[in-house]
Amino acid sequence: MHNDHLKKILKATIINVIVAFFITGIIIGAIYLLVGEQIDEVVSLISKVSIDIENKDSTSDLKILDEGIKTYPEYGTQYATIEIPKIDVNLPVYYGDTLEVIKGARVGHSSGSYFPGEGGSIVYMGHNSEKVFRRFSELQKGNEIIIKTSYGEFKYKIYDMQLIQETEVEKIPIQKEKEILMIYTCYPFRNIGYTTQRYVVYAELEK
Amino acid sequence: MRGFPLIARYILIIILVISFILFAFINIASSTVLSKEYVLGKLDETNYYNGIYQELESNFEKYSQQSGLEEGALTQIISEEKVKDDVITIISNIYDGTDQEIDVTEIRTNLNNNIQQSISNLGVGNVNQEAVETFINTICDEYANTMSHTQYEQDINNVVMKVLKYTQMAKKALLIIMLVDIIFIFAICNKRLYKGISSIGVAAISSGVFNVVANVFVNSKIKINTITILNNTISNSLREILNNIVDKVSNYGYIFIGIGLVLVLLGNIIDSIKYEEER
Repeated sequence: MHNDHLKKILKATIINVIVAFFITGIIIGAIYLLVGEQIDEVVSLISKVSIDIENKDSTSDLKILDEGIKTYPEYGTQYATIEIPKIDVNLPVYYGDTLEVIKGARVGHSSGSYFPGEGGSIVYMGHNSEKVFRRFSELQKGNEIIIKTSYGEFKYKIYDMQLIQETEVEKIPIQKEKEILMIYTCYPFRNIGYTTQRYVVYAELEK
Repeated sequence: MRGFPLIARYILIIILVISFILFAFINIASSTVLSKEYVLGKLDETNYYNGIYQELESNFEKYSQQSGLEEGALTQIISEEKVKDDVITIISNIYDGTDQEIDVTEIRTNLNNNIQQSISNLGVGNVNQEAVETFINTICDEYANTMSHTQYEQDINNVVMKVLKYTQMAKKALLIIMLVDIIFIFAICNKRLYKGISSIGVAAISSGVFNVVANVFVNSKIKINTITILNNTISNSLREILNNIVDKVSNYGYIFIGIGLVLVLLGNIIDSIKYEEER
């Protein structure tokens, strides 16, 4: 008798739980039918700002290929070093041109320009601090600049130096006819505060 | 006509389920993102103030070399206390509708002193005062921008105020709906009290299952722990808040399921006892 009692309660409870699940299913189905697309959009939008750092494919290691660079570096990573023997410069080159990228003793590579070996304009920049390009005024035509990457070494010879305004972007032209390295820094070299002038060094690839 | 009370009861149960779910979500929102105290607590917990302070120091460092100043000329121009006060000011602007601005006088004074010291140490004779002033303004703007990350505090405040008002109204409305719904359920069940209790139990279990499913859905579709917005400090705090909200959703779910099971069992026990008595 007592067992029957329990069985009846248990059976009724199970039926009630099944009904509850069924109702949940109906509600979820209704929500999906009504706003399913919007939910998918929200999920996809959030997924765009969800960056899985651990699984991120690192492209900073360049593949060495005969024809030059094939895999471009990730923004903000080092991919080369620059040597200017005349002024004792030997610095890492990072892909990127923000203040964050070039902070410290680093040289930045303008993301809109070509890479060494690609045959176009290469634009580098760095601070005019003592550890970077303060001694730019000592450079002369004919001095050598060496860029070392994991896919090759490139030597350039300085052929011109110019003082430009920061707005004169046409004086740092991006083209693909000839490999030209353009490096600029702030001028005056020993300024305090914000400066609007840039000192540009132009160098061409040595044959 | 015999089926009408049954259909009506299930419709009322569905309405009750939806009310429970909405009530839970509104409560979660009110006690988390819509609560100034909660947000400030979470920022404290995630070391937000120190993170922003470090970020500012790092941002200033970027300008240090560009400025031609000595290394360290831009360090210690702000204190962590000042950063914390300013973050609280911004949060108050958003939640309380205050219109306080970030005061950069202290930074301006400290920076100016450091620059004068640096100029003297470097032995620079001819200084372009306009360039120095532009530089100081840039640093002050950098501070204000890093602190607030938005110019729309007042607009956000308007939205928050509206949402707070509507959530309070919605809470009251839902409580009335739930009460009326429960009265109707008991009325339909006539004198069979146990059926009414079981029905409310079924509604509670259903709401609980929904909340748990919602939690599983969010966890499977969105990687909260890798959400990255603006910088690490903001992202960490945001992740902590989102994780907490998702946990609360499932906690509400388990509570609903627990209460629901108790009510269903109670209803069925009463039913069983009555059945025995009638025999």
